[in-house]
Amino acid sequence: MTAPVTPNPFGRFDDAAREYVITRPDTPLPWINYLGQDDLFGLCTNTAGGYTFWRDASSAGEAKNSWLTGAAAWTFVAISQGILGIRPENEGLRVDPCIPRGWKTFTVDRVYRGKKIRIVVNNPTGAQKGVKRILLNGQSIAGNLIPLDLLESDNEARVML
Amino acid sequence: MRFGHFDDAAKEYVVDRPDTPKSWTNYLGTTEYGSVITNNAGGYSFYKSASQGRFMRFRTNTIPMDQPGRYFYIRDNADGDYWSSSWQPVGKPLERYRSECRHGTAYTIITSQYAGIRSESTYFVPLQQTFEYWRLRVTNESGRPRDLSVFTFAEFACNWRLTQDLINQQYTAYIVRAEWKDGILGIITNPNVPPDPEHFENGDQGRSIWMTLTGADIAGYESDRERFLGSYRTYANPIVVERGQCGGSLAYGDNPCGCVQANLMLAPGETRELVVLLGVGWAAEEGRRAVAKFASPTRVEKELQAVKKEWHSKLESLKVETPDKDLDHMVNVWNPYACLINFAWSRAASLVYSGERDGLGYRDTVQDFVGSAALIPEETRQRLELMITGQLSHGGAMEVVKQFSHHPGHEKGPDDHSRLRADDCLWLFNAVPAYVNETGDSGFYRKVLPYADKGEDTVFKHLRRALEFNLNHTGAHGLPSGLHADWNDCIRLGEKGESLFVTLQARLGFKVYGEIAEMLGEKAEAAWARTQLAAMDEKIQKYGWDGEWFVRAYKDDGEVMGSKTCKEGRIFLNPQTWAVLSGAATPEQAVKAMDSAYLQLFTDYGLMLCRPAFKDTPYHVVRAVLFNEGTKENGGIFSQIQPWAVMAECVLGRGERAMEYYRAFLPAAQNDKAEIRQIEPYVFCQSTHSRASRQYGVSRLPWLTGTTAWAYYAATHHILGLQPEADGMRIDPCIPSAWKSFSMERRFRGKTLSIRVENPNGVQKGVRRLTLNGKEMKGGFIPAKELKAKNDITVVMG
Repeated sequence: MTAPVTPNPFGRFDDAAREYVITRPDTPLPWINYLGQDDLFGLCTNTAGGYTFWRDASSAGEAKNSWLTGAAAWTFVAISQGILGIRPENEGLRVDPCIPRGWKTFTVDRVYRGKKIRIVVNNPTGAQKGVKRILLNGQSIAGNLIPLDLLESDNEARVML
Repeated sequence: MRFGHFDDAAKEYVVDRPDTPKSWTNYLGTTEYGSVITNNAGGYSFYKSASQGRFMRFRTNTIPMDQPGRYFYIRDNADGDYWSSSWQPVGKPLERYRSECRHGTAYTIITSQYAGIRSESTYFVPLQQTFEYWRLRVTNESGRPRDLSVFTFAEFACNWRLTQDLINQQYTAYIVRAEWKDGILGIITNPNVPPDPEHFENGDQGRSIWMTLTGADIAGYESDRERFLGSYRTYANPIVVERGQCGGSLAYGDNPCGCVQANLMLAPGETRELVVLLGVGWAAEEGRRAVAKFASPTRVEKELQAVKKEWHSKLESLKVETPDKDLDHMVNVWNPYACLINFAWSRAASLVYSGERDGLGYRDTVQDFVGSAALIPEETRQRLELMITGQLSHGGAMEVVKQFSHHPGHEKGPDDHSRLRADDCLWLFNAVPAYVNETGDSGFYRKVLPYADKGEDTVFKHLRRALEFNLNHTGAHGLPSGLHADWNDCIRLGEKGESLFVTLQARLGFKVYGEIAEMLGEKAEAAWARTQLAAMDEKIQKYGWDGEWFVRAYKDDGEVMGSKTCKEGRIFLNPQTWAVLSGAATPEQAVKAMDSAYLQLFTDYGLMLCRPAFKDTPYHVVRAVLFNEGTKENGGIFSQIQPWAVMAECVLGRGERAMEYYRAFLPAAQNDKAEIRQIEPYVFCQSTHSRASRQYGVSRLPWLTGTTAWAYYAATHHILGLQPEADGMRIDPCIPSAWKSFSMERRFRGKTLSIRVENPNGVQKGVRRLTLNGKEMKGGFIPAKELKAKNDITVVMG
């Protein structure tokens, strides 16, 4: 049984806009974002607090560990390479998802060494792991590694678990 | 515009209205347990060190300007209205909120009236204890029964190291735990780590503070700051106070605070007294013991009286009554009190100094002794010995002596001597005689003390090394090098650049050393000093005199500073005053140099450090360009050098001008111009903006400044003329001719000197007749051996 979902009263994701929308300002703590590029950076909270610095924040203030943490990189690796199972290797792109049984299908758009690959994974039998077959641009390939030399500029890979 | 007045009888400054231009502060406690408190109860406390024992949080230079602090919130439960016993942090409109703050000697009392309720909060640290009292008396003046709740508030640090607490939240947000046991709140940092009290500098050890409230049943508590304040709220409107009831949070990480609630039903005219105790140690041990022994109202009052008595006794070194009431305010209470505070905290803890600067800066601390010697001679000697052991065996000094970890014989100075300051040990020629002459302890010169790095010597030899250091570091003209800095941090002359200021200091050094050598019967040493002095005088005459005034320095490329040929920094004050004070100037030069200073540098608020200010001068030697023109070392009115001008004019016998200079930077003399000066009118400051600034007259950095000691020295030794010598007391005032008479009571070596000075002919200087207990004394001098326990002394000038 899944736990009842309480909607977050403070905000929601707007994926189309690639934004997080904070719908009321009295968040438990300031929720921040980073601005800037190159040498000029800034932190901005949901109530417009924050600071801006040139090159080095050490003289400007503190970095909150809600953002600056090794968790960011490893979580991204765990999701993209572990759960979704799309792993770049020397010879090509390994496809080896590990997902909940309830996921019937999912799609990943990946840009890999300058080539675009749309990967559509189907899981009709409700497996958690194990690639049965891959069709790359309509051609069946052996194993679960999409070899580099078969890639065109735009590709579609159909994967069956 | 004035915001307060002096209450000399109570030895207090009374801030009559709370909306002062800047926070006006006071100090509580001792070097064991220190506190800073403002006229709105802002501030912080610390154990031993504001840097490493900082258990109470304060945000320097934030807004509102002095928060957080030690607060009592009072809530009227009938209508939900609430205020604080100090105007801030709630900040009720002043039409309806009246408040008076009395800053006394290591205690502060804030009395307020609002909505028919009078509150009096008294803050102090009892003697020899490591906790502080907040006593709240609440009186119902409204003529109807009142249902009130009182909430205390203090914000605590997560880690006692200031910089860790303020900037390393990824560590400090997870190390605090609060406990509530038997009515005492314990705030523990690193609770799983054993305490390590032997190593104060170990910041990661189990440490605890405790806090409680007595005098009423405790109705609740909060110890998590966010639970007390609520998110996106401020100290002005905490959710708990608005709601009227604490929720009982026990901090576990994040930020701790101390809120204890009491509910009071007050009949018309009724007064209730609550006592908060907040201290260092464990709730179940130090906390419980302190509550058992110290919490009763009679005990609190007794401890308050003991604090007053102790501090007032230290001020009894001198009491004066002169025609100048502003001088009286300062010399009787505030200047000696501030000398003791400077002695205690050096330049570490104020609203400007965040506490992060730990340790005893060499020259700052040594100069403080000229102020403390008469007040606390024994403590001065102990600290003086510590500082002498901060001298390196080559005669220079460590920049900072760290009192918690100083190991003479094992310290190290920089190998690169251009990193040393040229003046450090030359201040000993002021400080050591100040101590010896106050006490008569001339054996001190024979006391053997180690050097910081290696070896040991008598104090007398330490003094010689100090002079040798400057003789061994000279430039092209044979004048002492300026090295990393002389007195002026912004003149970086290096190994080859030469400082006339250091030259004049060394000139005084040779003179003083020669006198000590004579006294000790060291004939060869006296002769050496005479020879060196003569050689130095010759160089000063040759390279120091510029025709109208003395120059300041020669840069390493030979370019002169402080000469009429200069475009910026044409004249500096210090070479003029020190040419007089050291005895280097001829009588004609002395008058000419001091008159040049008057004409070129004097403003309404004192003498500018130099003029014109620096703007286009290259930065590599003249660091003054770091500052805006007309501020600090860049042509500002640097306060510490004002007393030297007073002293120099007194040496010249010009009492009128000495007093003009003294009053120009005297805080009390600007009490009615507080909107211009902005900072406390009862303490000296580091500097005042000069005419070259857009903020002419604005003063900054009160309390912790070398001005304090030198201003006290200038007023007492030179204006009032009380000049202790090794074998007695010389009395030689230099005053305005309008002063017809004045009186003084001086404690000197355990004896009381009641002195009446008469000036029938309206002179500025010169003693015609001096009688001790009816007996005439020759030459304005009273030999110590002639003194009885109580002495009547009459001085007739003219």
